[in-house]
Amino acid sequence: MRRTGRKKEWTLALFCVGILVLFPPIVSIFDKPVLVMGLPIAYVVLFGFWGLVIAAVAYGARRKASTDDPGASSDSLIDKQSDS
Amino acid sequence: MQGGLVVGVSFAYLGLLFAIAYYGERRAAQGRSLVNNPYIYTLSIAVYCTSWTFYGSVGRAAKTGLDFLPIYLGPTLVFVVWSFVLAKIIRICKIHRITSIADFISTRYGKNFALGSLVTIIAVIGTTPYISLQLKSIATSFNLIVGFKNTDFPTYGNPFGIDTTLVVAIALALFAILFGTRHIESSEHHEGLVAAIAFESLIKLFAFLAVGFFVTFSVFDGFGDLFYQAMAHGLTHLFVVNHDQGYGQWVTMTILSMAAILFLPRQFYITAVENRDEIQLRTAAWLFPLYLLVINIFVLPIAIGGKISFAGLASDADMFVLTVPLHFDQTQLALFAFIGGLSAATSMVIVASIALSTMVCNNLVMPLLLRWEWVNLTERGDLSALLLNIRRASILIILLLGYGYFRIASESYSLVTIGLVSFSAAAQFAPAIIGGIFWKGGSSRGALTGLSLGFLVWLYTLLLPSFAQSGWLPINFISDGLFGIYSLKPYALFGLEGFDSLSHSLFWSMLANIGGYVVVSLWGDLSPIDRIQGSLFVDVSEENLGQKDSQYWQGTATIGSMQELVGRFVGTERAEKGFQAFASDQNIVMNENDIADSKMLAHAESVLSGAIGSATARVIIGSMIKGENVSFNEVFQILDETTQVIEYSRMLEVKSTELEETSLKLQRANKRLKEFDSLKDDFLSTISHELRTPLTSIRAFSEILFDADGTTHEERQHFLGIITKESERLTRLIDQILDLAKMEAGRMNWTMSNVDPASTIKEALATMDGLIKERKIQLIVDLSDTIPEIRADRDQLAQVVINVVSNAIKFCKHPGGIIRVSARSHLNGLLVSISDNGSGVLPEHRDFIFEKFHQSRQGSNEMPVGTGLGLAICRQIITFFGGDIWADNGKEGGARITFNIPFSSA
Repeated sequence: MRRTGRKKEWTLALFCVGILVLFPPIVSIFDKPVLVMGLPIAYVVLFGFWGLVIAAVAYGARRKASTDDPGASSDSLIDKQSDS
Repeated sequence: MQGGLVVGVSFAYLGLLFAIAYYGERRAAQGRSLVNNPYIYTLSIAVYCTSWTFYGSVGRAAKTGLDFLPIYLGPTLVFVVWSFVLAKIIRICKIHRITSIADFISTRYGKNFALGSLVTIIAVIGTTPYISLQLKSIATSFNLIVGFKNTDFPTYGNPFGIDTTLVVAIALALFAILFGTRHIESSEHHEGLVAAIAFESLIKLFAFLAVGFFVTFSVFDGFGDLFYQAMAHGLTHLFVVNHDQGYGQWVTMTILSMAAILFLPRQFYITAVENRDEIQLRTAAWLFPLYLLVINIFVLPIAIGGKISFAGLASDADMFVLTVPLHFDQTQLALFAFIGGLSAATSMVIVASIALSTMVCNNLVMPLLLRWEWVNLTERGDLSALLLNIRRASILIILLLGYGYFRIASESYSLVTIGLVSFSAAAQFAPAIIGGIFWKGGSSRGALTGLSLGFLVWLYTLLLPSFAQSGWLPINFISDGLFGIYSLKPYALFGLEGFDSLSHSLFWSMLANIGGYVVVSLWGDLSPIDRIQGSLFVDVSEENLGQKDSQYWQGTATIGSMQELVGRFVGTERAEKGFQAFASDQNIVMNENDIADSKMLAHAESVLSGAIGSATARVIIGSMIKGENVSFNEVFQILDETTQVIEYSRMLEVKSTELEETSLKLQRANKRLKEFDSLKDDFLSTISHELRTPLTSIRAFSEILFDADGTTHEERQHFLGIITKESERLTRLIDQILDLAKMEAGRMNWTMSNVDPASTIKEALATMDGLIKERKIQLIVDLSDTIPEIRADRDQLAQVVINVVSNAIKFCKHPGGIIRVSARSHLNGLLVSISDNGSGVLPEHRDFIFEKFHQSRQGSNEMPVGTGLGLAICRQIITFFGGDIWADNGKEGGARITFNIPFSSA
């Protein structure tokens, strides 16, 4: 996720990936009563994926370093609806 | 454990909360805010984790494994898109001084009173079970920690002869009243409250983690050992999300929790209304999901630990957090866990009751009071005390309602089920709010219809069956349907079976809600105020953050009376301060007797909105100013972004029209340039032709003279005569070209003086005398004697006369030519006309004859006479003298050239 000034698209893509992984049918792939390295696989995958999503959000939400960033305009908290 | 100790610790904890809240308020009053940082903000959002999380998740995990997780995954997904949804809602709340979720919906849909009340009613009905759930968890945990392995203690302990839960409820009400209704402006921040809530979030996190660490690393030997033993105990069904049923409930719960994190009244209140600065959301966006993740890591381990510890024993899985430490005689840890559960429960109860009381006061009670007792209300002095008292009473009533529900109904239900009923109620707000901030077309009637339908379906498919299960309604309501009609069975409406009750209810209620909202919104036209609020909400952006509200008031109220009105609701001092600030903001001097303009009225409304909600504020201002709403057209001049965009596009349109005009001009100029270019070419070819003709004849006759010996003297004389004449013509031509070029370039040396026109004309005619006589032309001169002098170059004026007259000589009838020359004064100027009796000028040639090298021919075969420059020179000269020259046909049919020159005095 480079800071390309297209955060809106990245955000929506991340949301969709979240829905995709957490909803059936994908969830059923790892939803098995099996231990992996001593931990239930669903437990590991769910918490691991959860953590990844949080890391991605944190990365996307960090403040920009300089104001002359070309993507600065789309960095406002709300992306204007009018540009879509 | 000693009941007295537990009670003592509990109340000591509550006392600590009071102290923290008090300290927070003190700091705020000193201007050194304790809570204005993103971490406190994040912790305050964690009010989401109630006793349901603290106790209920473990209970659910002990029964069905990992399927407690959607309640926390849903909010995480919502925080992924924080910049679309949350930031927008928060900004709207700040701009419009929103006080609650009911206020938000009512403000969005035209400050509609009915909508606000409906949302309030749904919120109260939906939240009461949730509050009772918290009270239940406090009571249960208290009884457990006191009664555990303490056989001589009754199961339901009343150590002081009264119910502890009631005492706790009243203490919480007291706290909410003290720190949640400090100022009347509910859009202002309650710093003490937020500080206390954040503290509670820390306590419950640490308490839960402590129990989790104890179970995982003390009872068991780390995660590996724990899960290995679980497998050995045949608990592998807890390792998965779903053991045998489908994923319907998993998906439903995810969706519900996504709605809950946004639209539970307490979440909305703490996330949006109590938000200090939008920028804090940047941190909360990842930190809050991280909080959820951390607090959930040990849910499954504790559940498994409980299951293994109490294998074969009767135990309430909902209380494992407490009973597992007690089982291993960790009383201090158990007490800490109890305090953690208490903090989870109390924080929810406090925030929910404050949020609900604001809604009840602003969106339910005040509008009704205004409607029924408007006269009485206006006659009262300071209304802010009344408002605060309504809010305080609401808090108490809401908590007593929750307590009542707990006493009567909650015994039969587990924590999670009650919580999900509440979540489903909050989800009913989703279509109206999400639609409201992304779709301008949503109307108040649509929102009202959708909410009502969704609420009724929720009531029928979820709440009433829960009453039936609690024994309030006959149980055959569930098994046989209403009036025994099978298709009306609340858990299988219209024969829809195969879903869990939650998914079933969500499906039908959302179908009714979204369907009603969309269809009714599309059905009719939007009212103007719906449209304005719609575009204000949808197009909210950083640019219009300073812009407070739409201005559609115009009326005749004075500033003084407005200030007095606002003062009655928010306190005189505060109103005065607000108005002064507004005046200095707008750089105006306020005079109490001035008429309040629409900006001032909008400001007054927004201050009132902050105190009593937008719908009520609108009614009050409306009845006060007795004016009319600004007309439809004026409404659309309101500076919302739509009009700005329209304005902008209109400007663009103007610009593009200008551009088009410029390019047209350019095109025209280009065409003229091309014309000039071809004119230049024509000029060159004509001039070379004109020079060539005399040159040819000069050369021809020179050659004859050179070659031929046998020419007679007469012949030679004749030839030389021709050569001389042609040379003269050549000289004249070149002179004229030079003159014309000089004149056109403005380099002519004019010797301007006051000239007597009559004598000049006479002189000029005298030079032509010979030619005229030779041609036997009759010259009729008619010169007025009293012509004043003109400012001109004498020689050039004579030149004009000579040119025109020689033209006339050329074109007049032959023989019998007549030329008339007349000069007189006319309209402050000299008017000279020279006419002949020739064939005249064709109307289409009248302008051309003044062009260079235009040569009139008397017949198609005849050679042109003259150079074609005479009249062009005339025009240059006359134009320089400030006059005009034109051609038409005289009375006799011949051509008439007329020119005028202004008098020198004029």
